[in-house]
Amino acid sequence: MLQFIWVASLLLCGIAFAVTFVLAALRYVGDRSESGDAFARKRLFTALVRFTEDDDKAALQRVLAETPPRVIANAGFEFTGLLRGEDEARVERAFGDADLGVYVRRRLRKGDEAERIYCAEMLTAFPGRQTVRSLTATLDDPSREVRIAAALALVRLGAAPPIGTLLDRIGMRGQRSRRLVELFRALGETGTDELRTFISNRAGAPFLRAAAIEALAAVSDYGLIALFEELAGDPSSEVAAASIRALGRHGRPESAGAVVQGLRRADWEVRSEAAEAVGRLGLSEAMDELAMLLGDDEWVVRYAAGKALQDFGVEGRRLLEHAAAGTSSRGQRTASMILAEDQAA
Amino acid sequence: MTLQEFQPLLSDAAFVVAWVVVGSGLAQTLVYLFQLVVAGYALSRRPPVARSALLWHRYGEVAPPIALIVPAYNEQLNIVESVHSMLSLEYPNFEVIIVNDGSKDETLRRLIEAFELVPVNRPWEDSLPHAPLRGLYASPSTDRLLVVDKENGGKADAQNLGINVSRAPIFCVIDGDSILEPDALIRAAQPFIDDPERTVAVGGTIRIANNSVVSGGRIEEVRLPTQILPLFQVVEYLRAFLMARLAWSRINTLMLVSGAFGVFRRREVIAVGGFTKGSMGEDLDLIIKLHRHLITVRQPYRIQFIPEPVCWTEAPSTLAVLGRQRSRWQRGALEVFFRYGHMFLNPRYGRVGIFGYGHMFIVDVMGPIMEVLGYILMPLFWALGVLDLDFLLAFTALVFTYGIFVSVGSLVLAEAELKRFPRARDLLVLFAAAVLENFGYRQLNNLWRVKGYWQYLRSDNSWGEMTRTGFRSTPG
Amino acid sequence: MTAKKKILVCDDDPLLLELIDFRLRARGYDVVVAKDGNEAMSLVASERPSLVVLDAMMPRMGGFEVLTRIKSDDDLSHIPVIMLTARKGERDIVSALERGAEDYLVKPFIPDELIARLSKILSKPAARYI
Repeated sequence: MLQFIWVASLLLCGIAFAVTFVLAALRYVGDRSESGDAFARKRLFTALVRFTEDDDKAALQRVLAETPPRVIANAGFEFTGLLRGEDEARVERAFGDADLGVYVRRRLRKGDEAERIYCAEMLTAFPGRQTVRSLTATLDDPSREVRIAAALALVRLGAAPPIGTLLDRIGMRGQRSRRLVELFRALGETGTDELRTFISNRAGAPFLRAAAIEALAAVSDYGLIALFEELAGDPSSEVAAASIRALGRHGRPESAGAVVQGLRRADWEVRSEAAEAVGRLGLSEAMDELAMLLGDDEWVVRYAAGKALQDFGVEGRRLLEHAAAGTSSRGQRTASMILAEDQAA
Repeated sequence: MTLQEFQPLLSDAAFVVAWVVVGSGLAQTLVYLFQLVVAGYALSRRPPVARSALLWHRYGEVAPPIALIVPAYNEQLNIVESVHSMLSLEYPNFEVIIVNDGSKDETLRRLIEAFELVPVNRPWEDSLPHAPLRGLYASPSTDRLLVVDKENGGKADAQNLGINVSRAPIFCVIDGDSILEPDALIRAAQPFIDDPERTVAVGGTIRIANNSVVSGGRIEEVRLPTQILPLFQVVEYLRAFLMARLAWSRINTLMLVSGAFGVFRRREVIAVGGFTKGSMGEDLDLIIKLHRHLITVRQPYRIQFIPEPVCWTEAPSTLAVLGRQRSRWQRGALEVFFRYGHMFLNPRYGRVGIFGYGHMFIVDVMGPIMEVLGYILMPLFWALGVLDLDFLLAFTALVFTYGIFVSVGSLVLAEAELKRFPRARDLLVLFAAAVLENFGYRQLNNLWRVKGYWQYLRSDNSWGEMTRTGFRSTPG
Repeated sequence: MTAKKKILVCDDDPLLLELIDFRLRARGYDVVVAKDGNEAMSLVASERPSLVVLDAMMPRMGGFEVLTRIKSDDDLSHIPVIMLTARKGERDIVSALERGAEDYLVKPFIPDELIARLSKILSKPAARYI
């Protein structure tokens, strides 16, 4: 036993030493090849900058032909990341003409996890059947992050399978990610019908439905108001809170009933969203209830109620002053702090 | 009793002591080897690393608001530059809260002048106890800065008030003299985006900035320290972060998110009463409180370490300062271990009680004492002829050769997976440091730790007086 | 021919600087670049540009602070500022405009749009001081 400890230690050390030297040697070689890439990168940038000004396709293609595809994939998309609109599209078309799409689709299968995600994102620049096919295949990727990236790319290309299939492929674990808000937002841009059905389904996971509501709230479609009003009473606090926030954002006073109901919910998330929405919508009939919430158990709710009262101008201020003049209590402290905020200390 | 009769008794006693020493060393080594393997596995399967420009594009829309809470005590030299550097972090939605903890120098005045601060009122939740607030200040030129002026109460007290006045659902604590990489927040926010329901705390890497080129509050060029003590600490930090933290994070028993750079969910931290005042290792204390609380209320949670976000700090370069720091860390670890001693091997606390606490017991409670004992007794016993050479060799292996293996192993992990150091030459320098630190530096460290032990035993273990010996927190 | 108008472009991304520098020069402007907020402040004072294009997240001093300093300095406040930044939050946009920025463009951007807005601002009578 004692001898084994000694011998094993020497053996392990020997291995570690050898590995270190191999890594150092690899690094030395790697450092040299990187300087070559740096040069190609610089040249590509210069060519791209010129191209955005003079639109000389032939000149750009000459440079692209001499640049290794991995450099175009990295540096080229770093460049298009600065741009948007037609400028971005023109450069991306030039990349497509240089057959970069083929390279990216191959790396989407063979690269490491980070590269695969990046490739999935890049592919939105190369629409077409082949791209859709590779992205769809990538929905079975072993990495959750890669699957989410592929799903997002498909949605952006308008070629995604139905939302249920998409979520199934992403898997349960990925269905807790805030990244899905992005996914839903992209879906909201192409068509809201699917999302409507999704959020109305009470069997769906509350986190996902809330994320979908958040994404839909960004779409200015007044047809959604009725749906949000209905969901404001959803048993899930997440869904209710997200719906009430959406109602506040849309600013339609007819949603008053649903919002005011939210003030009385047991879940603090819902109460605080409702207080904020009452302020946004200017629902003066709910002012007394807001004043009550100044003494809520939860600070977030107290603060939201105070700020909302402030939005009501003279009348709200009067209620705040009344609360601030009362005996020392949570509500009194909240009210006086809100009142003091506007003035310099 | 004659000497002849006494001899076998002494020999038996020596034998038992030697086995205890070797056993403790073996346990410690096995823990390290286990960590190395788990860390290697975790690194090979870690979430993808992307360039920071991509991160903004990818996560910018869904990243949660973060409050950056920075306690400052007598930091007049660097505070203005630090704040500029923090304000220029690349994150969509954040606020910098500087808490001036009753500095005796011009920290506050310099801030007021540089940012033309004006007193403001702002509603805040008084949920954690703290020394009295003297005033809040904001700047007309940026709405991302809030300066809190308070009476002196210690680092934990300052951080607690910072948490109180913060509004974001997530806060990040760093030290006033450290430098965050511009993309550190968006990288650290990633677990809060990927798993927003369960993630309650995230720690990132702390790296040593000695000798690196700093300009405008950013690290312009990474260079290894030229002084030997900071260089050894580079190796130590690799071990502490890339090996130990990563391994424990992987099996969900991370016991420490450094107070020098940690990101927390505000709600849970308030539920456990914030940072414990007067505690030496208040960061360690907080994480253990979080574990205890969340296990007790049966809330599924994750406390994670991710290597990518980086915070730079200046490491002590003199023996005196370093020694004080290490004694303090040791004392902090002991305080926390015994404060929450009921969790030790308590099945109610699952992995945290068994692995987390077991690890603390082996490495922090037993480790230094046994090792120092070994240095004295093993050669002595051997010289007296009470023990044979095998014992001495085994002890030597456990201290030196496995020590070297673990240090070099962490370096291999760092290089194979992260390529943190700019040149091939740096690797060789670090390799030399990883070997050399086991001869002298390691022993010195153990001596400091035993000193910390002594300080702990001598103090009455109540909350202790408000000694302010600097702002650094435990990395290892 | 009048003298070329001088534009100061501040950003910590060298690639973006190269792009804007080239595009503006091609349109007959004179360009000065700054890589951080401090450099921007000193160049504003020494070069007296006709217009400043300003990023928000820069080392040493953030763009919002540079903006506030320019607009609160009587000597410099007439210089128009266009913010060009990845920050697209309502709060950021409103606060920049309140602090006196003439325009606000979000990255990723359209270079032609930047040039068009810039020339429109420069041709306004408000720029008569220059």
